[in-house]
Amino acid sequence: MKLHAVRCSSASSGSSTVSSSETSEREALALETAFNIVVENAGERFDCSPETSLLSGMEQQSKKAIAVGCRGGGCGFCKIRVISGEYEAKKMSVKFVSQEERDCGYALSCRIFPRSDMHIIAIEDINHIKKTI
Amino acid sequence: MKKGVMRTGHVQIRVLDMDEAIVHYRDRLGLLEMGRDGDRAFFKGWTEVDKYSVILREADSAGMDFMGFKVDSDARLDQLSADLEAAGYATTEKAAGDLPDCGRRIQFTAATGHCFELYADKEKVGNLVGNRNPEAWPENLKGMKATRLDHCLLYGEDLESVFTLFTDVLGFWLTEQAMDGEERIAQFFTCSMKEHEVAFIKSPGNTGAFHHASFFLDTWQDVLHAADIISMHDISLDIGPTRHGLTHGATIYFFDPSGNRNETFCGGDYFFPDHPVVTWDADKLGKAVFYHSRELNERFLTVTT
Repeated sequence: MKLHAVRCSSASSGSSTVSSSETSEREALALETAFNIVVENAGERFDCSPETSLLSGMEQQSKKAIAVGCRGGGCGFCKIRVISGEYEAKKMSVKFVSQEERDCGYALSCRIFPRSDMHIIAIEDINHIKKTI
Repeated sequence: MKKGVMRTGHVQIRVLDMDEAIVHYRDRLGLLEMGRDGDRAFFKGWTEVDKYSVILREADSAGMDFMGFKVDSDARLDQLSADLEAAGYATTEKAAGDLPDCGRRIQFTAATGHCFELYADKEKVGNLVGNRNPEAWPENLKGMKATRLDHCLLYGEDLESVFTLFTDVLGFWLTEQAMDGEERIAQFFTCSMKEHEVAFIKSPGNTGAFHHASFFLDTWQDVLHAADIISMHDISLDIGPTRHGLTHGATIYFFDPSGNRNETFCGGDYFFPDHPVVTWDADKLGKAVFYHSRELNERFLTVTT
């Protein structure tokens, strides 16, 4: 997994800086404390430990802020944009998150693990998921 | 089997992490690992005679590369290839050995963006109980003990073109459909006695989308056992155990570690060529998809890879 750090002045400014570096079995993995995850556009927050994906952390606390799909990085349902915070990411489908998007802080929340408190925006409106039939 | 297409033969599925995928398909689904070749791994269910039916390929996205149907002779391949070309489909021939232990394959792409292929030969290694005084079942199977790859369900927009492709060109029968007025929004095709070999659901704007690959189990108890395996190993559950109205199969859906949906199911309807088409009306779709809850489930309807 690679470490990503995202800092952004505000959710609406669109300006963000992203850097990534190889993980070095960071001390964060040893942390037993959970991080505070704020889903800005859902008015919701939840706790998430470093070894738990953001989506799994949300589901464990029965919060409904991010759409839940395959939970495996393949379907794009749980796409988010990270506004601030550090995280490590497992491989996710480029069909739903291009490298350019990853560089701008987009990710699938089932594939990222917090390394600090985070502020995120859920891309899919869970109340308006399009129906196919 | 009007034109020599016998059955579902194989599906090639893209996975993000091969090591995780192998654990899932081998130890959880209970398929037999039949070999590896570069970035691919090969599996089959224990009742299947041909060497493999599931091909995993490590890639940077999930989804289906292609689905293959086995035809009854090499001569049929030439005829079907000519018929496809005459119907306006560009065909590509993959040489024997391009897939290990498999003969030449004819590939083409449907209007929904899905790649299909036809082939006549694949090495027969036999099932696990043999064909001389065979015992009832083999011991030491793993996980859900999936018996065979059964069918795939795919999402796309142009269902009318696919209907013509499968019925007219490939000689499948339409077994079951869901209708919204005059528009067919779900269509199930078979070339055998199975209720379906491949099915399509209308999904405007979706191209080449993979909904699930399905594996057959013998009994409802086996479906419940599969559900237990899903919980024991914290596998991502989609829905079930439950029953479909469409096909009447008893089922459970879950996801592989890369997000590709799998189904294990038992029972369900069967088909003979003199059977009438079964139709579900749009206002009964909840019951058609989930016979017990009678409510549509957003994730089941919209999540594809």
